[in-house]
Amino acid sequence: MAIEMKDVFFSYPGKEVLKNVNLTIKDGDFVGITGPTGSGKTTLAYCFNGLIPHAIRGKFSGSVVVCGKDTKKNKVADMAGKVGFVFQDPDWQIFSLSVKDEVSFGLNNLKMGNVDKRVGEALAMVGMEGSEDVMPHNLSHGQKQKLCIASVLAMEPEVIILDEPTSQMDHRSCVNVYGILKRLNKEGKTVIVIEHDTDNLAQYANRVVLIENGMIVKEGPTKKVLSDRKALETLGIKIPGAFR
Amino acid sequence: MNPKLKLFLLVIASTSMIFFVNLAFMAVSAIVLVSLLFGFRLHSRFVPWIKPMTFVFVLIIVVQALTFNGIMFSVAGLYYGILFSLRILILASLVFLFVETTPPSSLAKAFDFLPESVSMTLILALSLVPGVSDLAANIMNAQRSRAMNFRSPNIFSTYFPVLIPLFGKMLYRSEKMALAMQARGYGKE
Repeated sequence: MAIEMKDVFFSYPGKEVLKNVNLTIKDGDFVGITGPTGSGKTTLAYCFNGLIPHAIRGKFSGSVVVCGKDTKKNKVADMAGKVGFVFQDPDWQIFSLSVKDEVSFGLNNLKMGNVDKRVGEALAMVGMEGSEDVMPHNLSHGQKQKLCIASVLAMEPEVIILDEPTSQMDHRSCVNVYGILKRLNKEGKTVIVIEHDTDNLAQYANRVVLIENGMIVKEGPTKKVLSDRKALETLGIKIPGAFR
Repeated sequence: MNPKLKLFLLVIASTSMIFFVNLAFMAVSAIVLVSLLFGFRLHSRFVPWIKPMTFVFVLIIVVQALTFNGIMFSVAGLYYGILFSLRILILASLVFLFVETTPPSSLAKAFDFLPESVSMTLILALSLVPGVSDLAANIMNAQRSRAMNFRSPNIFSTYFPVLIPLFGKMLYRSEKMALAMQARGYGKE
């Protein structure tokens, strides 16, 4: 199993965000997590790499086991080699003064060898080969997002989580990014995407999790979940064109 | 040139500017710097960069000239005013030359002899500069489009609508960046 969550509750001071979440994600799954704004999607994802309970303060109970490691017993840095996390806004994570330094940041932290080779390969995977010396600030938003993906891929994680990766992208960049994710998934990586656009999920994900008010309201194969008109309409989620 | 050597030269040159308060020394340094700016073809970028500081230079000269010897004009005050302004101008030019002639990746390497946490802080600060100036420009444009007058004499009320969202956004960003760094193994022992 890639991820096994059991009886997870989490609350920020004064606000309960996750309520009795039980979720299993198999190795090699391409999972889409969707739900209304503020439903707890990102908080749920923060549990997958140990940011909750280690870095984000709040009351946490239950257990989350990712790639055989209990997130309660392992620090975020220890989980980093297993779980790659791409944040919603690339500007939240890019800080280095060159593309190469940005991609090698995680490798150096994890003391992984062959840094130059891994950086080159990760950049090639996202179609950014040869841009090692470019300053990240000068990249377009789409390229910054690809750089973030490359910086996670370089660490060769088993699970890749992306929080609304295409929310500020044009259609072409969006197709491009999902193409990369699909390819990685075919190579055996477990991909988890938090996404508002159900058309993307309908096209690429093999499982979908619907979340509302901190609870999983429906979970299963993409077609089964995203063709449930009643559930989607109740949550105010767009019914994907493929299942209308 | 090796970025560390360049940084070392910058520190030596800046320190000597502070200890040798001498017009001839300053004048020679200024001539060398101007030649370097022209040599690297940076003069056209340097002028607009330094222009906003003109007011500060003039203010220093005027205040020194009028207050050096009691509240009255004095030639000695004028001399020291010019000297201090020249010193700030040279220090600013040195930093400009260093930053403009060093590729970003080498800039990071220049600090790698420092303790890891210090060099990381410097790199983070350097990388945030373009982002902060872009963000400030966006916020100012947003406030302008709501008829905000940036020429109002009350500096506090003028810049509050810019500084509050700017600091808020930067704090939020730094918090998220800390999470993103941890997620990529930063802090692993």
